[in-house]
Amino acid sequence: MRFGFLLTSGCESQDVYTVTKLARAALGQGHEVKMFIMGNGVHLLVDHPKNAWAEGWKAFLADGAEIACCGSSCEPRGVVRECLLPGVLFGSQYDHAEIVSWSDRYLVFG
Amino acid sequence: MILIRRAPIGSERAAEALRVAVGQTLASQRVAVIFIDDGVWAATALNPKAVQGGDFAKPIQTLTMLEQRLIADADSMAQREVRGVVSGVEVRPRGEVLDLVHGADVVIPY
Repeated sequence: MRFGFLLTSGCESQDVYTVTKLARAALGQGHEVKMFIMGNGVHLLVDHPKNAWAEGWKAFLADGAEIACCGSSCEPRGVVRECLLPGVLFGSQYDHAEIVSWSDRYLVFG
Repeated sequence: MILIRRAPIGSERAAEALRVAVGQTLASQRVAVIFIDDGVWAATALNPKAVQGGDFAKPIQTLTMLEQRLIADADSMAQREVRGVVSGVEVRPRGEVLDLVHGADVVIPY
């Protein structure tokens, strides 16, 4: 099954923990996973040693998941393309729409 | 379907939801936006600058031009004594709104 996830909240929310655990469980059972991150969630994708979530995202990408984020959410938050984790797509709402179309199940957190 | 449940006052969530709705049309998907609970305020002629709610008038106009449905829940309006909505937004009773939600392939709540 194809699972799509939307995450709009940042590290202050338990949503981040929930969505990463759910997505990893789906991958572990052989499902495909794509994730779109926007709003304050884009801060979680910064490639910085103090980003506690960075290693998790890297492992997630290595396991075959795809992550795209909203460029329009990144810009006002000072998150530029060059500071994103390798493999994360600096995308747009078009990418979001494509993920929604692709998904058999679409889960929203935020 | 995009569900807007919160007031656009001091928060850009409603504007973000409408931006997502416009984005979903890029994948040739039919989109409906439901204004429900405090979200009905986003369908009224508020001054976005005064309420610091971001730009929600422009995406409403865009969705109207694209002939996507924008629906305000009549029950939510009555409870809040909201008497009018902006052009392009339909007012429908709760039962009809719930039928629309039930029939949607994907619901993105905001």
